[in-house]
Amino acid sequence: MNAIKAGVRNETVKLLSRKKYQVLLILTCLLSIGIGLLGGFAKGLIGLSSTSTPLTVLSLVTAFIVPLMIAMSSADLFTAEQENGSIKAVLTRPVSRINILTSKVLAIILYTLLVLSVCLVTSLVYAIAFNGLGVSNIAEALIAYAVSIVPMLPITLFAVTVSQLCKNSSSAVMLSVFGYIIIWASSIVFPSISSMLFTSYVGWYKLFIGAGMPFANIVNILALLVAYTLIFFAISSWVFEKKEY
Amino acid sequence: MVLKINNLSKTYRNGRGIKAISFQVQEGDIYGLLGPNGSGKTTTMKIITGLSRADEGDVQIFDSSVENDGEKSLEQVGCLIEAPAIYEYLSAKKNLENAAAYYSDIKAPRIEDILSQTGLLEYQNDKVKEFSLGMKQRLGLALALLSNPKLVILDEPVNGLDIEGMVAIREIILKQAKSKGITFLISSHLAHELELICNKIAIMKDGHLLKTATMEEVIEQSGTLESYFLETVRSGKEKAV
Repeated sequence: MNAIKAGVRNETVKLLSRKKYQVLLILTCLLSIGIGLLGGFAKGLIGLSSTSTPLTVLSLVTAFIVPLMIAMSSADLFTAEQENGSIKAVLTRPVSRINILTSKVLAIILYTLLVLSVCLVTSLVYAIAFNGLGVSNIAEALIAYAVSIVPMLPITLFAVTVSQLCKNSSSAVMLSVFGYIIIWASSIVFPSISSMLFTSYVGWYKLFIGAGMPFANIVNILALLVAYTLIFFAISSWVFEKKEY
Repeated sequence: MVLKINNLSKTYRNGRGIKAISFQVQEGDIYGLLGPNGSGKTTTMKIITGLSRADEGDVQIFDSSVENDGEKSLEQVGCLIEAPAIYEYLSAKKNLENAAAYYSDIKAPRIEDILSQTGLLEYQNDKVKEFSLGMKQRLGLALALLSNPKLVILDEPVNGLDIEGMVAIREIILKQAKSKGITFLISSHLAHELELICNKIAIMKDGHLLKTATMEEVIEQSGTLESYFLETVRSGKEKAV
């Protein structure tokens, strides 16, 4: 457990020490404000509502920005480190490979949580300050952001698996992004398989807000997302365990 | 016995690799692996440190099998394999702090101590990407020595360094061996460099271990390690150990 704790700390420090991940945080913050401004000016014309700024930001961020960020961080923590040899810094320490993999995955999830938190705080502050967001809307936004980490888990493990199979970081990012787009597009082209694909549920927070909560539906989707997460984790840990450096 | 290598073999897809390598390193040894590029030194060291797996054979470090008990076998080991494994976007101190996080007994004073011993104290907060090759190599050595290991494995530690850099690395190794009794396994293709620091030597070529000897035997027989290496390789009659 201590090895995982130390690993998560190290991997998080590594991610946050890099300029691109700091810039990404600032950009998501600016994006949240930008959407809030757009909502104010457009007055619902393009489907944006100033009172639903936090949820609009969440939809955009979970559909595009977070998956891209996950692809980048997976490529950096796995493929790039393998490419430049720095992964040996931890592989030659008395830590098991499964613990190393788990630490890296948890660090990516932590960074995802940080991005979502930045979006939540920025969009909430903006909406409360300029649009007079009510208490019920705030509670809704909090719930929506909290549950949105769940569909990000299979996406994270998918990107980690792709990163294990690639030899350079650029191709790892490209393959993860294209893979995500192809799976996402498949659900549009073949609506019948949509319910079986993990990319179809990035907006599952909608099930948790509003009048009724479809409990059975939520449990089914949760089981599917957990299954995808475990399958990708099993594949990536098997590859990571077998890999030679 | 600190390190016991028994009949280690590995063949890569291109047919290269190592064949039936066996040798033992005793406590307090500075054991050198001498051989040209491609002779199998790095492959041997990668298998010893668990970075790679052998097709056959076994490695034991302090009686723990690397294959079956990798974590335990690496507890007393520090290493520098190929290039130093460092994060260039972090400072030297942060690199050491990251490594120290995996050991419960390594605290800030030890980090400062090892930075001082490797001459990096005044650059501790500088990003590693601004370091010269020699400084990076010293940081790699600092990372290998950080956990107070009983066995340190160094793969070509002076590769690409200028004279001052080579002397600096050599002095650190000799000081650590003398003051702390650390056992070293060092590979190099530079015979003179190994002659200056090692007490035992193994000659490798084309994936085979041709001969092992103490440095005293080497000097007595051939005068220099370089001559000994050439005689061993040219004779071509020695059987793999």
